[in-house]
Amino acid sequence: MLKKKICMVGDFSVGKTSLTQKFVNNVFSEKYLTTIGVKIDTAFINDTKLIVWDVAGRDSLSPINASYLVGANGIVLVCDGTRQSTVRDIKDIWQVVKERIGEVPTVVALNKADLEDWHIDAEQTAYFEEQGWQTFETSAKEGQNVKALFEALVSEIG
Amino acid sequence: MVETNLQQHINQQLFEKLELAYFCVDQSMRVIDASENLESYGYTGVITGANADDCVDFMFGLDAHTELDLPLVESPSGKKVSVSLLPGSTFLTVLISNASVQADQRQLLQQKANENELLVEQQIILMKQLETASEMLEQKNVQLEEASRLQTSFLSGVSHEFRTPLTSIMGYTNLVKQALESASDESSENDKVQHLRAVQRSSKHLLSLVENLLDHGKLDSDEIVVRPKATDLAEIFNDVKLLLKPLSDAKHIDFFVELDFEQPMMVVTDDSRLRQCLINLLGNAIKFTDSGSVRLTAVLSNDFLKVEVSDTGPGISEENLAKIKLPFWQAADTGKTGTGLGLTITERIIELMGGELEISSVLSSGTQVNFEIPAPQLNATLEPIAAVAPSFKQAKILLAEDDYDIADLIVMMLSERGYQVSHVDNGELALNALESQEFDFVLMDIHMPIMTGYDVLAELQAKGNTTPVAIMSASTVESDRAKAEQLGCFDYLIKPVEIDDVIRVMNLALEQ
Amino acid sequence: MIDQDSPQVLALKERYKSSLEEKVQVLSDHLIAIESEEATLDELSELRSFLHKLAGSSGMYGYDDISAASREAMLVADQVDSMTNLGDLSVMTSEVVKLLQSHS
Repeated sequence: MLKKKICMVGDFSVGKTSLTQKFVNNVFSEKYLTTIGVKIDTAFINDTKLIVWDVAGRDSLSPINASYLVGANGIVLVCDGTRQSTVRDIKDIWQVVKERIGEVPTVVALNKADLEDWHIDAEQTAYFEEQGWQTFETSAKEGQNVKALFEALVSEIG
Repeated sequence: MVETNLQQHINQQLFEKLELAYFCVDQSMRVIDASENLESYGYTGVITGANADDCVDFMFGLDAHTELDLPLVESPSGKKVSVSLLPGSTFLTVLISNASVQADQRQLLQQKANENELLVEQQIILMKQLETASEMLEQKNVQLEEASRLQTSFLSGVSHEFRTPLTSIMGYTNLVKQALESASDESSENDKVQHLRAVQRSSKHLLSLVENLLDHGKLDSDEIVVRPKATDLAEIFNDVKLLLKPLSDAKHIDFFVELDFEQPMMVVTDDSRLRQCLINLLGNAIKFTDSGSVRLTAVLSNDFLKVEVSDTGPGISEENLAKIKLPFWQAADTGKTGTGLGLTITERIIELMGGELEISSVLSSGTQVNFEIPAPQLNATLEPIAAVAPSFKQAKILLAEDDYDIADLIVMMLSERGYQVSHVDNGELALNALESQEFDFVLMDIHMPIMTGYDVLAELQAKGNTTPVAIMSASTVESDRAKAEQLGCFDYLIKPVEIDDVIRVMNLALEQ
Repeated sequence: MIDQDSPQVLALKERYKSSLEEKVQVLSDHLIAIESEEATLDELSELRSFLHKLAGSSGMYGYDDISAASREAMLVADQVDSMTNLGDLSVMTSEVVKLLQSHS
């Protein structure tokens, strides 16, 4: 059986856990509960078993713990479309990833697409294109693009 | 042996206290040893020979010779554990210890910290929105202040504009009063008449100011109406000249009026509207000119009236030319007061009269305002029709009719035939006219506002006024005719009336 | 007698002709007013007075058909004794509106 390790990384409160839970268990909760450390879940796409590491978000107190990334086959960078700072921070986060495990296949989720105060335009996501990352506007709440996000990553990993 | 036992004992204590569990894998990541308590963390099936990553998810992707600490990993039992990978020369030991106490503390702290930070972010956004809102309020405030400033300057302008004609009216009235009171009346009758004329002119000026104010209210609703009728062009221009001459004299500037048409000159136009426009334009020119002259020229050719008002005032900058026709607008730096309505209204009236107001100006050398409107000339040389006996040609006729469509047509047709027609549009005005002037014949509608034709007939009868009155009514009801005849009407014409019928009845009345 | 209208009279006639469209509007408004459920006697009397004026002025400007039709409608209006029985008046007034439209 094919197995792939995938890590969800991004700023705190962008919806990494929500996206993971929507993808793995098809559930969504409005309540915000910050993730401590890491939570590991598994799901299947076709006959590939995905081991999804839902890594605690970066915040002003603590950087991403890069140990969790060791051995990852792919990265989902998650940011919050209603908070521009979370899009800007992707650059720093990517540096951490790259230093620890090199350039692995990566996709980007611009999450919370269901909310009205969306603040993202092409200028802010230009960096994603430069890096050649596929970018998805996702909504963990409504399920928009959640499956597509993971499928795209799996096919990038090959 | 004792030592070994002690070591074992200590190890035992440590394992229990930390709830330490472990397993070991060889270089190919196969399990070679495992503690029994792994199951308490939910790791099942960790038995010798198994692939580590088949029974422990976090092992996938890791190798046997990298030292790694994985703090706060959620184990299948839901407990948070700390995982340490300790590579040795032949195998890798994976230590798992309970970290739930640490995790709970961390969870509390982190949750608070993150929620705080989210709040701060939210606050920053709110602050920005507040700033934007307050900027908008600030702007709005400036606009309101500007509006209020305009209104105040408008009010003071109105008061100022009214003062001039009012002062004149009071002055001339006083002169007449003194003349009447003084025993030795030195002033001639002619003087008194001149004074009263001045009063009349100033009253007309006042009226046109009031009309400006009223018209402004109508500007937006397109209610300004122009009612052309037969009128003497020369009289309008001479009146305006006499009215404004004192203003130019007071400022020691020359005021020239050049008329290129015969006097009198009967044309069809709205005389009060034309008067209003001329007063507005000349008033402006005189107001803004402090030295030099103001010139009014009027040319009538091919039934069009061309008017130009030029002055040697300060002129208008290009920037201000664009704004000058806006309501209430006044150049800020001139120190002149006024209503700021004159040009706006004049432009609209000229437009309604079929012309266009053009303004050209050169800074510090003067301004020219001109317009051209249709003013069809009444054919004064038209031969009076045979049916009208020569002696009746100068007959003075009063027409009382509230429907201007009908009134204008009758006035026009009778004027063309040489009659002098005065028109009023309600019964009360008809009665006033009949009391103050002599008329040879009255043509009156029945249904009029304020006083009906019946009311007027009754009043006339009561006063013994015997001026012949012909009633016009659309009513064919016999009782209406009987009522009118009972009230002493000379004849009862059914609308629509034929002009020839009117003339026939009129001649009959005049012959008696 | 003057056989032909002077330019000034022609101008007045032109003015009247161009006012027909507006009169259509006014009359239609009156019609809507009396046909509404809350119509009052005041509205009826306003319509009557408009028809009265129209009968007079349109005739003077040579629109004999409009003049005759509005006079008839006016007479019908005189017969109306209750706001619930306006059938004929509506029909007659609509007739006047049509005539006005045909001339404007």
